[in-house]
Amino acid sequence: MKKVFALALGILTAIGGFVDIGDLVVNAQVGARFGLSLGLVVVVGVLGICVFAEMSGRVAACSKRGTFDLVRERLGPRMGLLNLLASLIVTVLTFIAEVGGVALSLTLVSSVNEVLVVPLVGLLVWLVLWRAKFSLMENVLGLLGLCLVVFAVALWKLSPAWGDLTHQMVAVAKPGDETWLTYCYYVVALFGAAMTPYEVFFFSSGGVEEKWGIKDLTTMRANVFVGFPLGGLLSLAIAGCASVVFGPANIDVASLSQVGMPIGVAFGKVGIAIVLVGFVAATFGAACETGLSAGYSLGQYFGFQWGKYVGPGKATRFHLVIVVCTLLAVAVLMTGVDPIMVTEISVVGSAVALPLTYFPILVVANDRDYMGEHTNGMLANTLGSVYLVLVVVASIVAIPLLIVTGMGS
Amino acid sequence: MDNRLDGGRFDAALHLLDRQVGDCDGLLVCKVDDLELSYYDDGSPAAVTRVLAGHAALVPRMSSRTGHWLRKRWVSLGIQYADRDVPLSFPLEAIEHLGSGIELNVERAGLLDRQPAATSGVTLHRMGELLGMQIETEHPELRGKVLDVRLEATRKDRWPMRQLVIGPGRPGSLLGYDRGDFNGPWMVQSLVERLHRHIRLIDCDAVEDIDWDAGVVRIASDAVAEDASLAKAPG
Repeated sequence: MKKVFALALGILTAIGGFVDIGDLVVNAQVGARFGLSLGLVVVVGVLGICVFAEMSGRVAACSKRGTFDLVRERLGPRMGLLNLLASLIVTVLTFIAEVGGVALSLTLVSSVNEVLVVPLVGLLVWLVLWRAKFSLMENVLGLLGLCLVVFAVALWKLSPAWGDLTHQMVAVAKPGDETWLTYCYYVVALFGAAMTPYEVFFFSSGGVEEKWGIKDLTTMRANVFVGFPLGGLLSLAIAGCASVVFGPANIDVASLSQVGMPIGVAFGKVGIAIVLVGFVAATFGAACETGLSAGYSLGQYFGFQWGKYVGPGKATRFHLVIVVCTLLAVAVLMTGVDPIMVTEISVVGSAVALPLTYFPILVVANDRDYMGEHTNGMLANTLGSVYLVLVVVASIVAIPLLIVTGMGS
Repeated sequence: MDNRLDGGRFDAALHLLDRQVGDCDGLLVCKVDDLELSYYDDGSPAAVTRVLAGHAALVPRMSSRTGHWLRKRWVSLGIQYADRDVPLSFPLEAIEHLGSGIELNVERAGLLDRQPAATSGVTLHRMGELLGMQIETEHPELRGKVLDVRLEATRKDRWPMRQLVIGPGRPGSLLGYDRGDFNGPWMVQSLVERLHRHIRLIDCDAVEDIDWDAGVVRIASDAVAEDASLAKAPG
């Protein structure tokens, strides 16, 4: 069991990247509209986040530096500030959406209007971020988030035509009623979601929180290579389920309750119960990930004490950031705005933040100053360079595609 | 990693600026937002003498060199405060270890105080002012800007400036590829090497004059321009 807990950080990080509230719905939407024809993008994204999370985790283990330390040291204060603002847009907007996502999930259970649940959720999130130990938080939320594995089991139970699904994944083709532009929009959206910058902020800072050293490099790698592929698998399973259940009927997925419906078809009430626990845990986990990431990136840019490895009394500014973010989230959500919409806007910030985050990681992972003998090998450098190009391309086309396709509608 | 203070030379922008400062208990204090430079009337070499921190140190570094637009706005937001433009600071003696971050030998509580005024015979400037200054010289090989300053930790209380790293002001000078410090991925390394093929190192003695208001460094035409690689640097 101890070994399973050792992987919780990787799993929780991946949940925030692949199955947070925005992704839950987008994955199901994509599944219903495109089948698994975008599945390859998820696989490419998983490999990309693995490459850079491994690098950032290695830097954290070797030098105790979180990713935003590197951003400011290598890009200087000006470009660093630009990245800080852009990634805060992504992180805080996602945080707002996740708090709303937890409320939406609880609404599915209680039928109480989500706006009424929001203040309670805000309070709970803040209490966990303030009081709970980092390890307790990641273990509980990471493991409960695994309830979403029910999607993989359900896909198997629904016994789809496996040959067709595999063919859809491997071939670059789109269903006839969709345009290539929309297809490209979802390619970029899924790739961006897989590689959202707060994943490396959270993963590397989490490594510092867990006091990783050079002896923990194996644990770190296990976290990367179990967590992120698992996240990708969940993302594919959700798309697969939606494709089997909604695809033939041409139903468009727009709400969280629809995302869970295939589970009801496969397993009935028990399945629904499990998937609801999964929804609450995944969105709550993503809320913790993004809330902490906002504090991590600000702390690492300005140099004040961050992290839950010291008591809240020793990291007062860090906890103040979290309080402000939580109040902001509750205030925004009380207006009744759709949380899923909020995550889609955050793509704009991703476009700027993605290259400015991954480039410094690639540079520092090669610096003997920080890394000693654990600098990048050939493989990490080759993959890192290839993905850096992909990330730049994605960030250039993201905003034009968003506008031209009207958010993929 | 090894302590850079144990001898040898290091670069101010590449190895010192923007690094994290932690206290003797491992708690985080601040970033190295800027460095205080002391110029001595008695002829001793100019040196880094304090670490500067806080908004008053950081904002001018983001501000444009000429006009200081952002800095003026920053001051005007708190025009009634006499010390609005005076950064926080701590002395170099407090530094125990300089590696990928800075470790102090004191506790953080009450550590940062306003930068003291200059004593007689000393003129104070900031590293952030010197970096990015235009080079003026008759020397055929030297052109561009001050990209970095090579320091030597010979004393506990001051780190004399030994050499200037000079080159065309292009991005990537914070990456270290140009200093021969490490091997990066081929794509980035060859690009940065190409951008920085004109980078040179000159001795601080060859500096004839620094115009702090105009942001210009005048260098003697007979200055010896060396390769900027740290590996080949003396010490």
